[in-house]
Amino acid sequence: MKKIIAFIFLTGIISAQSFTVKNVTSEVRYQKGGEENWVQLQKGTVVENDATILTGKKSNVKLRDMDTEFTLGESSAVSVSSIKKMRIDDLLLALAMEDMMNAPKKPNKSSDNTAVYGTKQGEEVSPQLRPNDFGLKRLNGAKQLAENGMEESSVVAARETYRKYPDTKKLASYRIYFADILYKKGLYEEALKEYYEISKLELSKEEKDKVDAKVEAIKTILVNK
Amino acid sequence: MEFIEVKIDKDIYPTLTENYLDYPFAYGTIVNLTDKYINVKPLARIEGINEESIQSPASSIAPNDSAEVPFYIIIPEKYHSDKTALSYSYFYLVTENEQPDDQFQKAILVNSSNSWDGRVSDLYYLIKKDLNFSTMNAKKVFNEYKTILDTLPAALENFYKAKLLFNRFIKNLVYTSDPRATGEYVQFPHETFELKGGDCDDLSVFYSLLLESVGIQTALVDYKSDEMIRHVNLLFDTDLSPEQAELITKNDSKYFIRESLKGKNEIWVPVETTSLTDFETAWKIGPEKFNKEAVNDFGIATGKVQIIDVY
Repeated sequence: MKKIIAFIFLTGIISAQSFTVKNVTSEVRYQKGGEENWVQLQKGTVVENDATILTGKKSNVKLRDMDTEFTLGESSAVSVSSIKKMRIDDLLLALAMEDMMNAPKKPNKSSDNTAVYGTKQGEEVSPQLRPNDFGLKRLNGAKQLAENGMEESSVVAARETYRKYPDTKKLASYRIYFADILYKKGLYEEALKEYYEISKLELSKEEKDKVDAKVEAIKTILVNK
Repeated sequence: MEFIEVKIDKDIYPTLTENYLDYPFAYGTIVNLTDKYINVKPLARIEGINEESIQSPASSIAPNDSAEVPFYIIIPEKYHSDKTALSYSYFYLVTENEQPDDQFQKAILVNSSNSWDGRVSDLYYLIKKDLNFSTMNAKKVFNEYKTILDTLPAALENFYKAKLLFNRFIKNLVYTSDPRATGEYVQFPHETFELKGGDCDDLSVFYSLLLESVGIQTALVDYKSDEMIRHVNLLFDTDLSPEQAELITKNDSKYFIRESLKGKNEIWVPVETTSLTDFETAWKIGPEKFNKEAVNDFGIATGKVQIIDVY
């Protein structure tokens, strides 16, 4: 198959979208593609599509490309690839991909190999695990995508955050915020599914009333469709 | 009973054994020339592959009616051929007597054992065939690193085993293009090991086998970004939960969450087997390609990128 594979291998990862840093306030770092380390972001730096940007407290960064200007506020994280306008159709594709990414529904397979190496006892959870607020910063970043007119993109970013940082799914106010975007965009089935999930969380009275009202509104819309 | 026509549906790729149990390789159009219902047993044999005829499911044909019947074949596990050659397939219709009512002969292309139909899902058959070879080699490596493996947290076992196997076997291979100008050619993992190299599907099949043989689930990723350009690399299951991601990386773009049958979300890692460097580099390049083509360009949704689980 592959005389030409080496070619795509070399060229396929070149980014099509990049932003120039127009202004940086205080602590703003970025992480390139598959790198592990975070680097301080400077004014004039060009950040590629595969990078992630992270701001600290009382920090922000202004980015610009050919036709987009985006400001990321404090305590936020965003993938540069998310800073883009998407069509509703693209959002639906992205939502559909969530299920397609999952392994097919087959029984868990055990290996033919029954050898045991070592003397481990039981399935332990490493004590190195610690609470992580990066997921919250990701949600803050997603929210700012919406505030900058990139609502479809913000929903995709939020959904990925829920998957990678499951604790963030418990943050009702954020969940409602992104569910409201689905509702506003007329994606009623998707919004309804999300509101049902949210209703299982611990909600304040105000949040509960809001979710219940949205559920009823969608039911009415779907019945009259 | 008589044959009207037999159509060969597919050439024979001997390595794709079970494929021929599930899908007919030929269809015969037959006619019942009598005025009563007849039960007919279709049989087929390919010269050089089968010593005896293989019976396909029997069919009942109405009086003076015609029907299409499928012919299945069995490729013996031990069958091997280095060359692609034209052979003959023989088809028989048996009713009441031992002797067939009618028979038909047709030429058929029997590919070499290294030939492949280009469907990434069918690479599974190559992975399956070399399981013992791989288990043996993987065990040798784990015995060498027994002290390290013994002291690792259990949660990290899959990840470090995958890393060890990559750095021992895949890192030292050389990328080489298919040796044949036409058709798809794929090496068995033991051949990739002996030849010390292969192309992207050879390397991905070899690494997948190494991981599967020690109980680590893998999926081949088929990139079909363009009609003329295709590529295959690999995802493997670390068995880590999303909350455990920090044990292996500080970069959340280097892994993906996939839900298992039991609803358990697990961290899967994309690896570029043609990176020809160490695991860390392969794990850096793999996610970059996956992020761009599978996720950001919606490759998974549009079918341009396909994840094929290896079981």
